[in-house]
Amino acid sequence: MPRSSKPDSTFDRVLERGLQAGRARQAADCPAETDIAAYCDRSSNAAQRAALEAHFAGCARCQTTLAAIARARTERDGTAARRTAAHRWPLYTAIAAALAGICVAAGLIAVRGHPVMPQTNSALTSGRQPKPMARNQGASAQIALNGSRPAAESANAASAVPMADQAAAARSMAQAEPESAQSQRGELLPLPAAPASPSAKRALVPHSASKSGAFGFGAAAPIERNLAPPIIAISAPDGVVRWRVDADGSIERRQADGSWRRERSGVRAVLRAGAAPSSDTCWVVGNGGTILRTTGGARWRAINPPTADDLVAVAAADASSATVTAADGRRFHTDDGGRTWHPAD
Amino acid sequence: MPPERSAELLARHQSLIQRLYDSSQAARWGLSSAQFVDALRQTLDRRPDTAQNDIEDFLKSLRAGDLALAAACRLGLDAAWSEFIDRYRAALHGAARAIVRDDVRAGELADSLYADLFGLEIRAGMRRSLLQYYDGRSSLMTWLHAVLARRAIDGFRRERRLASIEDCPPVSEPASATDPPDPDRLRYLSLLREALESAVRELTPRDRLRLSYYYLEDLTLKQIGLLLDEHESSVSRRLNRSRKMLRRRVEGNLRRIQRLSEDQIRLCYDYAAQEWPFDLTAALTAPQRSRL
Repeated sequence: MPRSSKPDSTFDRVLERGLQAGRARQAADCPAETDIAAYCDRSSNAAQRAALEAHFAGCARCQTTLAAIARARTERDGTAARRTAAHRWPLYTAIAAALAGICVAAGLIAVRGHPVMPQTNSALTSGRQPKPMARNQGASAQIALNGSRPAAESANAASAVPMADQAAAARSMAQAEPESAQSQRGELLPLPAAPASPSAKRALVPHSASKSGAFGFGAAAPIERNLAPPIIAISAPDGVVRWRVDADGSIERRQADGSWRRERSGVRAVLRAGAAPSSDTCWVVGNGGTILRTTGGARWRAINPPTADDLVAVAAADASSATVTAADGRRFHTDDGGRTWHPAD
Repeated sequence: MPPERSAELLARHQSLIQRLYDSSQAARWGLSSAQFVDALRQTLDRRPDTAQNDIEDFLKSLRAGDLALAAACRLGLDAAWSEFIDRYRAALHGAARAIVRDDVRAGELADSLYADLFGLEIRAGMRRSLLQYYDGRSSLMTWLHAVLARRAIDGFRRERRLASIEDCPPVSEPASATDPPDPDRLRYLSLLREALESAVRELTPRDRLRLSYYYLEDLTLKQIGLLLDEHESSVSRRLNRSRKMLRRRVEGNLRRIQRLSEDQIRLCYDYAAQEWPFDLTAALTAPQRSRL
């Protein structure tokens, strides 16, 4: 073995070998499983624990047994956590759907002055609907928890699913395979876990700011100003949610292992919508003409906007081609990644 | 503890025992109050060192529900076995997989244990179930983990015909006087052994355990924390502290007492990393020695 230039690592090797050679293969009088179990569950008193640890410290058999117990326990805890998340999901989505219906009804009452039945998203967007994109290259998908409809509809785009259908789909997925692979549970994660949380409440409020009612609402209701804008989950064409955007400007990206990593957006504006034409490309728009785009890395680039007005929707075919919708319904299109914009048809 | 003694002790705590019986939901599985008391008596019999004054606290500390379920299963009550299967069958298989990391072996291990828990052997009209050894001091799940782990470890050791299951480097004999190219090699190894022994003796058993879990059992900080009832950050901090302390004392000993240079200290490490002919068992199992 060559002489090590890293004393620390050499010492670690020496320490490891010394510990290995230093513990008995099996010390005398190993404690019974009941005593080991009581030790693990902290049922032993201090004197018993000390005596047991004095034995464990020099016994390979007991150390390996305890290590196996620790592995079994972390496996059990991991399974329990996954089951708890899966079992709660249908309840949370059902509650979210019910609250969405109530809020929509409340909003319609405020606008029209008389009770109305909750309607689907398609009815709500019967006002000034965004028109389909002229170009259908690639696919883009957007799931906005604010009840808004995707701005663009291409032939290959995954269409936005009304909240009720989303809840039903989530329920059926969770119920069909409660212990299915992590990827399924991971795909359900983007929606708020707790309906009582402020973020979930935010998600169920239809956005306003649209005088002409691009999404079927009239002038901003006073109630909305008291509520924070929604959280947005953005799916790629493969249906997997790749990004989730909080209204305060924070963006998280899904990692290969299912965890979420925060990415710097560089802005503090309220973010309103997003679209992902591929697993690596994502456009996000928000108040004050905010447009952000990422193309695979963790960096987000601010795109020069066509207007300083609030932008409430976006559809994108790829990293160069996108259409944004302002709060007043005006639409703008770019084919060069935002260097130039022109009014969309 | 003689049976009559434990029976007498239990008779003095009838109201507590009744409360334990009610909370255990033993009646749901068809376990009578008398059978529950018998299970408590068997647990007490195994704890002859329990003082009379401590009986009440001891009884309160027991997992009454798990104890009742185990007792009902031992008696072959169907409702209890249905409950046991619902609660533990899948968990046992999951635990076995986590321990042996092989689906086939895990299945065999779990099924074998399950059969012994059920008690296929009947003697004198009584089913001989492994559950008779469960005493309620821990949760039934933890006890099952311990039994499963012990079986896996012992079985693996028998299978491999190794005294120790870890990949121990071969313990080599000290090189003969005519072999080593460096005449001081044995001396360096001996000095390092003494220094390391002395430093390890000053660690508490918990510190030694922590090091063993980390270096030899490859446990994560979280798993070590579960065993030692410490937070992950505490485990990390204490591991680093032990490691630094050992190194500081070993090198201090070699530098100041043995008057070795830095190069010679490095040689000590290198020779020891190549082979370790010395046994630290005495140091690891010795009582902690305070520094003067």
